[in-house]
Amino acid sequence: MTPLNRGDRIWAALIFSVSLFTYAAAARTQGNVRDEGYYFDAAEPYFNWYVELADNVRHGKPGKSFTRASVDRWFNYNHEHPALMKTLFGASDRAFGKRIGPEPALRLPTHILSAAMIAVVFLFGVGLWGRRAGFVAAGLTLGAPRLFFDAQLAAFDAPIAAFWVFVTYAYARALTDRRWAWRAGVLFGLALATKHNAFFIPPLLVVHYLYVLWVQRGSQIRLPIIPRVFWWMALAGPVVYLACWPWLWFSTVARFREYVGFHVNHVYYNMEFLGTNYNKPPFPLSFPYVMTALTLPVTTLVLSLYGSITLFAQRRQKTPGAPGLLLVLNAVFPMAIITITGAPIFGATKHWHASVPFVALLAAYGTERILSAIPTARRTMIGVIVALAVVAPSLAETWRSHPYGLSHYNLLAGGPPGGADLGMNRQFWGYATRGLLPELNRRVQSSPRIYWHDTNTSQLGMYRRMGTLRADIANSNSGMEEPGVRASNWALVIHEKHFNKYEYWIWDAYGTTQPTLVLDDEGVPLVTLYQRPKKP
Amino acid sequence: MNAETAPKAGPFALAAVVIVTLGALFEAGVALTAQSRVATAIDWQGAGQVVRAGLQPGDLIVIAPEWADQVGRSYFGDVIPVEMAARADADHYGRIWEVSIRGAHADEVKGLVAKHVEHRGLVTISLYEKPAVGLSYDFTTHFADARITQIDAGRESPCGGPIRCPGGLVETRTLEVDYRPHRGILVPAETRPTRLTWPEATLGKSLVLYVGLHDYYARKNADGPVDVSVSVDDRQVWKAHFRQSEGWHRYEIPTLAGTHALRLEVSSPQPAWRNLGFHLEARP
Repeated sequence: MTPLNRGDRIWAALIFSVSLFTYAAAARTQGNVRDEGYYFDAAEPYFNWYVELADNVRHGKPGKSFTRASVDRWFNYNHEHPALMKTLFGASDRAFGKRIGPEPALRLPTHILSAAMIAVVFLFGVGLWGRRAGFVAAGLTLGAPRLFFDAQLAAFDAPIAAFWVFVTYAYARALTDRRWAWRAGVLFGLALATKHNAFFIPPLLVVHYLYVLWVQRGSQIRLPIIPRVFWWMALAGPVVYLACWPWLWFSTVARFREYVGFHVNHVYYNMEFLGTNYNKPPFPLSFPYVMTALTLPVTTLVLSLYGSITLFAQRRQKTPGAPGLLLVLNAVFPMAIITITGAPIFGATKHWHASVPFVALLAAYGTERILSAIPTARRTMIGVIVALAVVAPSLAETWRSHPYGLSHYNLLAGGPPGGADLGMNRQFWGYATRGLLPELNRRVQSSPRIYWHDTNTSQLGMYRRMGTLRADIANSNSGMEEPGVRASNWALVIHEKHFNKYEYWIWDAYGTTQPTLVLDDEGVPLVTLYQRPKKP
Repeated sequence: MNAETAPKAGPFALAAVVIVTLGALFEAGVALTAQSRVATAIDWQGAGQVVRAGLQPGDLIVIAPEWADQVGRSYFGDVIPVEMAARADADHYGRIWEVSIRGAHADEVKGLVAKHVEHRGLVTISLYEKPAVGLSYDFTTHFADARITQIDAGRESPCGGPIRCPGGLVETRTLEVDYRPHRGILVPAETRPTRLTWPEATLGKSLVLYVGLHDYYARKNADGPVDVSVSVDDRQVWKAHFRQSEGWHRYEIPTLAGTHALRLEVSSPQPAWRNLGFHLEARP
């Protein structure tokens, strides 16, 4: 990769700022998801450990914070995921919560990391093919609708995609610049401390490096069998990982085993795919590829395919560091993990968001290759027009998808209605309820008893704290499952295929099939609201 | 791997620039204008008015595609009672109103030719006519006439209450079978047979039985088999050993017309999570 200049860094800073503003602004209207509810609850205690540590240091007793009792007190909740992001959510809430509100503050660390990812994608593109490619890759990554959705949330899926990009970028730089080796090691540790996906990064990099070694055989360049970057990743990675996650400091082996066990034996949730509801193995192997084909903008997909093909055609050029292979491996491997491991598919595309920036980089290369046909004298002007045109669908699709990104399907699928025709999952995580809140605030009279379906109490609590839901409504939960429906006078059903039965419960309890209101995305029902008819 | 130094693109590359640019702009345009292709509230209200104006007792209203059902019902659900929405099939209906968007058609009108078609904006209202099948006796609606017992070591004993057997509630409800609504009777299976007996049912030439397993969560959590049998005047006329978890299965059983005692039994060697749902009717 070519070295960066000051102008590149200024552009990167600008891209970071624009992306950060975009995520933060969009998140203001983004419903919070079930898992965010748990992380909202975890954020405060996780950061409280550091607050207590500071107090203990002030009082000359820092050791008190390093006892098992103290660590377990603050980090036991939600210990099935590493602590880094939850700690950052808590720190941000402590620092900014009173000024900008709890939800924006809790989500801010994700916005910062995601914006940094866009900036690094830009720098990746600049380093490989120049500034125009960087802009295109950054634009296509920012405008990937499903990644954009997760990049707004206080969750781990966008942050781990960001760290995946950071580690890969640092590794690629480290192959020619020793200063990047330790950075890759630290970033890898932070990736591990974000989400377990990071454990899959080293095998991918090893495969890539073996190829690099093979390509360089017989040349005068002598590469180490184990490069410095791998030593740093192997040594600094675990140290940073453990440092960020105090829960692992005690009974380390047993707790790590429990952590691994949780994910290896993860409960199977439901996911509709091509008309079938999957909630137990075997899962369709085509799932990640079909989902990607139906959710990323078609222009991005076509150009990335073209970019990959042309890179393959040029494989005999033996570019130092084999960046083409690195991009292709990273574009495919996060998806292939689902296929290889037979992992549950309940997270839709969020489990392989790390693919997206690399797909975008390949698309940027495809764009550059196409532009290489233009005479040099005219290429600048035409290049700007083509680059803007290529990025336009991504931005338009993302704008179209917001705030219902999980219901979004691309041109190939026919948009959200086409996705519904194909029998694709309509949403999950119960976040669309946010769209009904203004109507609930307006319509619901006194003494409501509301069946909230898949919306959990932490989500409702945040809506109440943010002032988007009246306190009496937020506290009106009629209960769980069918008894909750029977006890209610308002009921929601959030539409996923397996949730159909909840609507039938409402019919039986209320004696009507007529909804009071249907929240839809381009005509596709997302949440249906029923009010119990008054007795004649 | 510099795009500049890489081999130049072929003669079609210039055309590729134009195609990619136009294709991208088309994709962006489709995204930005998507909302204009969505049926509006006025369209749906208009469709509701058309249906209401022509609706006759015994008509069926269906919405297509199926995923638009909630939207349609929010405008004219008051004329779609639970029994219609959760029907076993469309056999008893002589006229079908299909309210559709995006050129979709409901399964119920396959092979039929619309007698009348109207459009309200992006919503299409079509009226179909077909011969209606008669009904001699609906065991679901006559649930209250059934005696519910359990068989243990050959002895028949009534459940603790009129409908509460040890395995759970035997009741009529809107079943979720195959992720669709079906009005029917729920019988949580037990190792001991649960028996429902209608002592004086008016039978015709055939019985039509629909059977399936209720509740996706139950279907997910177990896959034990379920045994179901139907007897008329103490003579077994049909039985099945269900292994499959999905589906709302239809069976037709020939019978002799007249008043008879009908008995349906349900049991399972592995009864956990086995919630059998059925709808049974006698047809002339």
